Amino acid sequence: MKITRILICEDSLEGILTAVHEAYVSRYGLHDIRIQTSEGDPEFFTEQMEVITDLKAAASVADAVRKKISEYVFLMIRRAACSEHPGKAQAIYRMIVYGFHMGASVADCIAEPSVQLVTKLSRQVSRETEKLYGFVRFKTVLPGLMTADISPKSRQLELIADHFADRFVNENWMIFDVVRNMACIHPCQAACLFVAYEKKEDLLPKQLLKEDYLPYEEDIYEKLWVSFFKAVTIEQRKNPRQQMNLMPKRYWKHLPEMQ
Amino acid sequence: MLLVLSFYDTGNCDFLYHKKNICLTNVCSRCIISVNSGEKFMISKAFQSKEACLMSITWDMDIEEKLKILADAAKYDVSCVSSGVDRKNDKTGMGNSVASGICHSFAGDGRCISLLKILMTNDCCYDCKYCINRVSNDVPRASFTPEEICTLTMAFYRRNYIEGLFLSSGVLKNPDYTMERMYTVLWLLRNKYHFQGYIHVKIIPGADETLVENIGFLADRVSCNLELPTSEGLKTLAPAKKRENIIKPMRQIQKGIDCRMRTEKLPLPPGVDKDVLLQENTVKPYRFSPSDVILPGDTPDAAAVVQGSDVSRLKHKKRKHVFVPGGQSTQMIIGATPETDFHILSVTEALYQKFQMRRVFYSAYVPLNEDRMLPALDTKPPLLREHRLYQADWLLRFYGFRAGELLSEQKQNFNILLDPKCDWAIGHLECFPVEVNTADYYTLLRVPGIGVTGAQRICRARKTVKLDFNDLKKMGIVLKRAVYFITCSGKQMYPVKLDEDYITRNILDTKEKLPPHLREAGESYRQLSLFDDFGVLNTQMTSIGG
Repeated sequence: MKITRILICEDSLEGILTAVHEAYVSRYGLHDIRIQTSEGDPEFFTEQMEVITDLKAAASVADAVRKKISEYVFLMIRRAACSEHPGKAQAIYRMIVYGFHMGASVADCIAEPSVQLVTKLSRQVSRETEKLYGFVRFKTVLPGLMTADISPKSRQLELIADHFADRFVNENWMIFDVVRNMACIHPCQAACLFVAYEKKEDLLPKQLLKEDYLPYEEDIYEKLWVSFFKAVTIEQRKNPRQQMNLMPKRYWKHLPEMQ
Repeated sequence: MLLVLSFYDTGNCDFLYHKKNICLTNVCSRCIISVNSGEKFMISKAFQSKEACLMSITWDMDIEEKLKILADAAKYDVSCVSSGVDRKNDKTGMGNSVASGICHSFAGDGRCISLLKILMTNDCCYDCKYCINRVSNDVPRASFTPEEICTLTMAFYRRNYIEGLFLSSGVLKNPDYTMERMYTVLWLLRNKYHFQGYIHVKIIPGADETLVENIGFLADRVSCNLELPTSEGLKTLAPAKKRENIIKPMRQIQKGIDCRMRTEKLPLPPGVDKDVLLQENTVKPYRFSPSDVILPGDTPDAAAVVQGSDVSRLKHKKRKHVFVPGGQSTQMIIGATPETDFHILSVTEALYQKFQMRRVFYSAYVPLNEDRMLPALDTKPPLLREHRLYQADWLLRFYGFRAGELLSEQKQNFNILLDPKCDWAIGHLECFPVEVNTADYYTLLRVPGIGVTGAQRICRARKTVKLDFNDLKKMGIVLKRAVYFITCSGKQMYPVKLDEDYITRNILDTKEKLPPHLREAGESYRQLSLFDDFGVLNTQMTSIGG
């Protein structure tokens, strides 16, 4: 019996795609390879191999997926890769293998478990992305610099960055994922940067830091927003349950109007 | 409303009125003594003309207070959607627009907050019976200046609180004057502040055609409220508004949308200086470069940062103005006048067909004013009725239903216990069961429990596989409803009867989210029908016995 080979890759789209590349290049046999983003419990009859992320290899797989399968499937994979599900890497891998056989119609194969999982994860992640488009709240920490905190269930920074980069193209802003200690930095009119951080202060521009760094003073517009929020509620139609359904509690800690 | 009392000698009148919204003017010394609705007294002011003075007083009011008053006064407008327009930022300003719309928050009543919904002023010269801002009501009045609205919109937008602005207004002096000021707000937002987010603006019925046209080139969506489903209702409750004045701008906008481009400049609003456009570009925005940022560990890839040119040097592209890209909408008040659901739905259908409305909104009447023409003050807003109307509205727009199918002269109102689609299906059992694997899209849409997404998923999935009930469950079809009306490869999920009473009883049994008093009604329906069954049994027994 052939020993199953488990490829352990970095927890990112690039990492997973590199592992897919490795699976093809190694010619070990597509069915005898599994891809994981973390070392699980040791199993019998398996060997583990670590894959080091290679952007070129990942890009070649990404291109192949977009050309031979479809842009839509690539988007699904991109979203699914942001989720925290332990089986996502394997599902993405299987879906790509099927996709190279079937082409674009692989997205409709709901009978195949890997396609089902990728679809489900992609839907979950994109639902959260859409919520965040609305629920990100910026604060002015320094004159000319806005920051926002988010604590999403899945990795969202790379998914929401484009939207905000387009919307606030002439602004300096940063979004901090406080769960994963990752930040997206957008200098005015430039491309977004993604960096890991230990302390948020480390990322703030240093020459401004020296001058008058206000750890965030009360913002008059935030106060105005809260009073606007209170004023628009129609008392006779009060419905806190619906409010909670549409705006789940886990978002509240970053919303000034819900404090 | 601001009451103005003129005195030659004010004496101690201000004690009497200091809690009211009253302005005491001393005509002799040409000075104002006190104003405002709160306990706050304004500083006395000398004035040239009384009117100029009143203007300046409302502007002196705290902006927070104004916002509270004007947001509170605007909240009865239902529409708060920011959808229908997909627009990228052209790199010269702030904002973009997403076709699906984005909700930024949800108010305590569960409604989405997507736009900064405010009135420009709640000072209204009309006396519509149902309206909180009618001239005969004694409520605190306030007005925003165009600049104030712009700053507020930009500040909120920058913090990602809102998708854009929803601007409505009470009728100040006359419709033209009001529209002109609204035009100023929009013009400043688009040209001075380079705002590229969403703007929804209300058309004041009776305003000049050129004004309506010009404002249409600045807004994304415009709406003109129908207010009440029939012109009789309008006549009794809103005597100053005329049906034809509401229909006219609707028709104009509909025609305008058909030929929607314009490259020539829009006229400068009155009172706005041309130099406004030259001034703002001289301010150079601060830009931090990634080298300012201390990165733990590695340094950023310098190539990743595209060096953009300064905003000050950017030439503003000649923007093509598009007329009302988001289409128009309207709204009706439900429950203030005695129209039936059938009447309302027929009007809705006509609006969709004849005016190509994007949306028709319904607003359950919330009693605010005491009037013998109106329902009593303690009437609860007919929320369930409003809900049923929205459900039917969706059936008209996305499910291919016609108003005449759902209701008729014989059946004027919706069943409060069942949603309109279920109600229709139970009344038309001859169309069922439907075979999921072969039925076309529009037939699938008519099955209770299958929605637009569900039907689309079924159509896509059955290309590669023969569907069974398990697959349907995975696709998010509501089987507890659909199960009575569908077959998969000719088989039903359970042996169920295609019988009106049986299905009604079972569907009501699943306890749809009905308000408590109706849930009881649902149960009594079941009891009643059991009684009927019993009655049937009884007669059978007697016939057997006989």
